[in-house]
Amino acid sequence: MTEQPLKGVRVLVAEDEYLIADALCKELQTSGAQIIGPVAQMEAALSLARGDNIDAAVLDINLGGVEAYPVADLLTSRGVPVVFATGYDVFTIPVQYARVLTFMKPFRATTIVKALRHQLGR
Amino acid sequence: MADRNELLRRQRALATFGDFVLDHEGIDEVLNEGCRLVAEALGADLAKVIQIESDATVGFVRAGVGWNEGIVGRERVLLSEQSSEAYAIACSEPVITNDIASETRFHFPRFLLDHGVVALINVPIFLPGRRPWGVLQVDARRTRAFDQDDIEFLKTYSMVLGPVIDRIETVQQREEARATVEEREHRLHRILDRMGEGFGILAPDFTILEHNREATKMDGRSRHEIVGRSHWEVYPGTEQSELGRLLKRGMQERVPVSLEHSVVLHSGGLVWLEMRAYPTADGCLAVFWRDITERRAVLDALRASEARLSAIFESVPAAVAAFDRTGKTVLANRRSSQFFANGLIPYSDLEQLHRSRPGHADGALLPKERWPGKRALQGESVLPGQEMLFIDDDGHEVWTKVAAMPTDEDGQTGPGAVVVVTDITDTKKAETALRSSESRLQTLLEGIPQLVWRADPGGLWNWASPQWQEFTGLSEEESAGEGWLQALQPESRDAARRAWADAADTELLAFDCQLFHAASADYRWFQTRALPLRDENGMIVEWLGTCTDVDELRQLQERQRVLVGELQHRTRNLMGVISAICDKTARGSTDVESFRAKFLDRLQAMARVQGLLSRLQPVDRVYFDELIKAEFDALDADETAGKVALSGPRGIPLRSSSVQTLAMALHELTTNAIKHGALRQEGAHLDVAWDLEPAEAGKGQFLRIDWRESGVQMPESPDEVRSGQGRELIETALPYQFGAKTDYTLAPDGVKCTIRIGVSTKPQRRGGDA
Repeated sequence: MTEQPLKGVRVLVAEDEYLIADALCKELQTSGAQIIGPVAQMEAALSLARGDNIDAAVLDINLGGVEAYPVADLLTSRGVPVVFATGYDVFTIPVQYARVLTFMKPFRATTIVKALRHQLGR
Repeated sequence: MADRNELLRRQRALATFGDFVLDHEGIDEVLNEGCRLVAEALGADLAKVIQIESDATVGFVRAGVGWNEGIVGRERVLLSEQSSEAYAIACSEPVITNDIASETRFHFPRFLLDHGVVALINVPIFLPGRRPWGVLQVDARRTRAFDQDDIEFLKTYSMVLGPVIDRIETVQQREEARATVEEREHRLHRILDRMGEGFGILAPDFTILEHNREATKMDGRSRHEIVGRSHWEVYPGTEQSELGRLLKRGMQERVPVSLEHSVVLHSGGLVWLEMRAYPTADGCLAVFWRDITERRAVLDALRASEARLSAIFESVPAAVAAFDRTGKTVLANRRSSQFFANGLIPYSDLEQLHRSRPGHADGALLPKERWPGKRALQGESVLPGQEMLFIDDDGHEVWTKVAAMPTDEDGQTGPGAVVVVTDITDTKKAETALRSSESRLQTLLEGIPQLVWRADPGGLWNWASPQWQEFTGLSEEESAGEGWLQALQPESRDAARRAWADAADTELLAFDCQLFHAASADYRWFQTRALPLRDENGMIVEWLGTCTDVDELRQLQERQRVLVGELQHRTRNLMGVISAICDKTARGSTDVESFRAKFLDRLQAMARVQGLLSRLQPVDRVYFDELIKAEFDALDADETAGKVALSGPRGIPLRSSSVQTLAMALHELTTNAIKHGALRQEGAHLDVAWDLEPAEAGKGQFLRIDWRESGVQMPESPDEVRSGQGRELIETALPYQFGAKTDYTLAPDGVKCTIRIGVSTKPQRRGGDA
């Protein structure tokens, strides 16, 4: 793919499973995105999210046994598009996040790329 | 022989008498005049007329002339065989006695001799049809000879006299008869007018001939408006009515008829009349009627009252019978035939006795003198009644309640009794069913593990089961009303009150709350449910509720919820990992066959780890010695014999989250070692040693793993063959995911690798060295 639909987009990746994070990051980079992270811990994700250099985020809901919702709250309050990539069923996700696009594992990284493109209006 | 003058005189006498008779009607004056004329004509002093009296043995001096006072109209003569009068009548011929003194045939009455009569002549008087009426006598005071002329004259005279008398008598009799009829009619009118009932006479053509005063009074019109007119005209509409039909029948068939009927009087009032009509001898109809409105009203009321009483008597849902003092039925309604088949009071009915049994609930026998009928006949009221068992015609048991009351003396049979038998079989059955149902319910309520209670509408408890009292330590009194709220965990109480507030609308009380468990001094979760009980009008009378212990259920449910979520998460993560491994393996493979071998190998390693993880209980951990042993156990024993040394303590618990990645890293190290070095070459050796070591700044403990290959001849460009996934996992993934500290070195005689990774801080189950 020569096209880079996410060129220059800074994407925060929070995923505690290394292999999954690695695969996702590779795909995002191929699409031209700049990865912020990836991080496997909630504290680290929160700390990155506080910075103002994030255009979008892909969050695993469970980061080392800690729920990542505060990260989502922080980013969506700033209007930063967020998608969830999780092993949990949607019914376990609290209703206030019902509008957040959620991808169930195992997902295809290209699907996430498409979703981010759509969310960012590219 | 009479001379001419004599004859003329005699004819004149007859003519004079004829004139006289024409002008007079009184028999006495006619006869007296007759006597005078005949005496004069015969030149005698005395003459008289003797009338035969009714018994024909006596003659009565009816008229006469020349006689002293006290003879005419007074004196009687015996008409015996010795009397000249009787002789003359018997012979129908004149009899002459010219000299009484020499007469031998007859005796003469005294008064003749007193008057100096010496000669007489008797001429019989016959009425038409030769009916003897009496005798005409001419008496002379001097002897003389009555000759044939005299006799002829007198015979003629007598022949005139008969019809005259007859005529006068007939007239007189008619007059008398007329007077009698008038008198009788007058009397009859007086009687009729004094009658208390209406009376009238109808002519054959139904003209009203009579109408008495009472009838007129009842009618309201005057008599002349009624009498003489047609009944149909006076009483319009009656010609076609039942009354008219009956009157016509009476008139035609000559039979008495009667009718009770209501009429609207001329005055406008409505009355009931009782009418009786009888045919009279003269072809008329005598009609009597009287006003029976009052009697009728009384009778109607009585009849209606009797009908009502009878209807009540028959419709009472019980057998009702009145008995005289001998126990015989005086009065009984239809239902009573079931119980008093022979019309006798049961205790004295030997034939039916076996069918009645005195029934107490306990089955005790009741002596016969205590049976209700007997007691009532002895003046005792048995109310509300005695239960008795009765066997009906089909042999079924019928439970009855028998009430009995003495009745007053009726003057003929003495005191009696009224017995009322009510069938209470259904009630009895229902009672029995209710009792057993209540008992079953009680057993159930006290036997079930739920805490049961009953409450008034609004949530005020009025009963709490023993289980509730035992569990909460609150007595029934303490739980009553709103007392039960004390047992609720304080934060549950508002929810409970809200649930009660909604309960009446939703017809269901449902809430969960924590109840204080007295024995453990702890709260447990209970599910409370109650349903309303309603009366026949649909009004809620009570709530029946239960509290079911759901504490364990809630814990289990919560755990299950977490477990299911976790399982889902792990599975999906695992799939994600597998797809990443697949991806990576594919990138590192030159052909499908090598991909297949490597991928399956990695999957098997993962499967081993899953095997270890899946058998875990929640508190269990995978221990490092188990993990490393499982990895090496999977290898061909020949290839590792004498070349591998594992050393370290057993039972170091790994964090579950790190088990998989750590196991995969070790698997990659092992795979590389077997393929490329230490374990293949002569003199090559692998030492894997591990132990716990303290982490810095009190962050728990680390597991330190030392992987030491030795005696390995490394390939010339080792990076090409020994880098790859194992190294990436150790150098990047473990630090990334778990903050592990790792060191990986490709030394000339083999790989030297150290991993320090956090372990579970949960208590160890077992310990000891491997």
